Amino acid sequence: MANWKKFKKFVKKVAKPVALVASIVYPPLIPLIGSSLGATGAAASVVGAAALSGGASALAGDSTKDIIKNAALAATFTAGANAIRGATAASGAAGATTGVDMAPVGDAANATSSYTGATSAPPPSGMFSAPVMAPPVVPETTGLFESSSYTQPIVTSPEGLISPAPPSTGLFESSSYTQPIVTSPDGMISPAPPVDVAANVPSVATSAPTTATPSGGYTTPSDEFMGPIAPTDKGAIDSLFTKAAALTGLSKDTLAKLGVAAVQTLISSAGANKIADKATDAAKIQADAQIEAARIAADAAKFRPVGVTTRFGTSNFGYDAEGNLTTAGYTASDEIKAYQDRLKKLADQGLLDAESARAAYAPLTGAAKSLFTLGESYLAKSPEAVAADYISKQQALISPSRQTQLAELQNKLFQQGRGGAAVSQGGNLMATSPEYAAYYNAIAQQDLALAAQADQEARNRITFGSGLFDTGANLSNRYYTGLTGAYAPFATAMDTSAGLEGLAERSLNLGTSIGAKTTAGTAEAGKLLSGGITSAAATMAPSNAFTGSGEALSAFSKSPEFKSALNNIFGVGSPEKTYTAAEVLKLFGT
Amino acid sequence: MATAQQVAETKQMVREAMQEEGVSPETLISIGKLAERVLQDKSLYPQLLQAIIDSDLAEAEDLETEIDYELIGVFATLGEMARQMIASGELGA
Repeated sequence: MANWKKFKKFVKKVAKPVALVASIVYPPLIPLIGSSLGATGAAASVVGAAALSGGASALAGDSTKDIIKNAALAATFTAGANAIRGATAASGAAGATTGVDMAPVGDAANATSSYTGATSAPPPSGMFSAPVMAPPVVPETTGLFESSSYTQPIVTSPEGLISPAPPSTGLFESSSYTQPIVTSPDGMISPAPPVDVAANVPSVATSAPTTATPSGGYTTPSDEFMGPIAPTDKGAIDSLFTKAAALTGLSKDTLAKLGVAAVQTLISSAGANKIADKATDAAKIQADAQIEAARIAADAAKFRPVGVTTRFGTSNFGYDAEGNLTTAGYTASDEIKAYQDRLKKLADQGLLDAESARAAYAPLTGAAKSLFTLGESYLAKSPEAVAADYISKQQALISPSRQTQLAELQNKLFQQGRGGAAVSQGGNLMATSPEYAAYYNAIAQQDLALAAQADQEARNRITFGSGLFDTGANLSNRYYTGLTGAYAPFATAMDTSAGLEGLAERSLNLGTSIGAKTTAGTAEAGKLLSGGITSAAATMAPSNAFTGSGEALSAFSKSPEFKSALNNIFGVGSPEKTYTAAEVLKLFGT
Repeated sequence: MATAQQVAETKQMVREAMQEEGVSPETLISIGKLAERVLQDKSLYPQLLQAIIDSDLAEAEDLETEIDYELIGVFATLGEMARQMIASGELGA
């Protein structure tokens, strides 16, 4: 326990408040201290907190009384530790459990006295530098902490009986103490020989052996002040600490250092751990049941299609090891397959035709192009130009025949000797022969007719030119129609084959639709079953979670009787009710 | 269990004590780190005591060589507290 009063002002001021808030300011510190003290797991936090907070009562600013209390506390720790050692010793050496009556040893054992040495100052070894228990209630007293050794005065009666001196002040007055005393043949008296217990609990600090003094008194180390203990109780106390050590996972040495409060806390923690473990087990059982229920429900809800065979096909389904549907398919009948094989040949040929159609229809594209060019030439001239062109072309056509007719007429008239003869025609008309007049009148009539036809011919040419475009466009359309139409034989074969495939596939569709209906029913049944399992698990959960020993340990650690018993063992205070170690052991369920 | 109010009051008290006694936050942080190291390696405990002495927080003859976990815990907490106060601006670095 740190004596902060020895530190300088700053530490004196802040140490105690800082220790009180350490767990909030620096949470990782507590388990770190516990680990450093050798505790593991949940115990590390408990031990760390106890180590840090336990000594707070002796921090700077404490009264002398508090210091005395802490000194007494340390002494009782020493006594508790030695009680363990004493309990493991084979001999009946003096123990240390206050309030535990000791069986008489020899005649001298009847020299029973109350004693006041329980609060002797602790040895300077500082073995309990990290006490955790609450300060014991120690009555005010004086002169009891002057040294670490205690001299017990012994009075020899005239009858040769020996007894310890009468009690002084009232410390631990309720405790009885019987010091085993042996009388030597030469009349010397001495307490029972010390027992080497280091081999039993080597980690617990050793105490100085008891030695007789020349004055007839004897010096008893502080660890023997807590009173004697019967051999049966010593063994029981050792068992108690062994059990406590097993429960908490700490060594007996560490338990001896921790004191009542911490041991109480650790036992409670052990109980809580047991309860927690059991609760974990129960939760696992419940979880397992829920998982099993879910598995059953899921299994029931799995899709299970039904195999169907028709004239055209048979459905088939594949499952994995867990019964999950992994594949689904159908097999077409031989009849369907035969049709499809033949259709395949047609389809192949049709595809070949389609592939050659482009070359077959290529001339259509050339013709269309020519028609477009020709049409352009017809539409390139105006209607007047077309009419003039028409007239000149027509005249060019009829000019040779007119010249021939004129030559024949002139020859005819010359032969008749009337080449120069002319007849007046009246008016402004020039005199001429009737043959010439008729000839030129006919030419004039032809030219008039030709002019009239020229306009019509112009319109006809425009219509014709635009018609060439229509024809060319139609040829182009036919090219693409031809290409598309070339796929028809292939597509027809494929469509027919696909229709046959559909006939075969019907078996699969029938299988899945029937399976869907049956699966819905089994899924509902599985749901009901899984709900029952889950409910049953929930019903059983409290029972599964119950741990008799864990609940008992928890309740036990909180019980005033247990605390009282621990107080006895550690020699703390004056318990309302005292228990023997055997009774304490009984509380542990032994 | 300490409350947030207690923690705040303790920090205030530590801060005032540091100013009054001339203890720097760096000193507390340094000793605090050493205290944490001691929890992992107990052989460093003498060095922790020496650091406390060197920082004029105690006299050599007043310190016991036996490992005192309460002392370690208090100095580790002081170091952490100083670090937190610097981080929050309550103390100048």
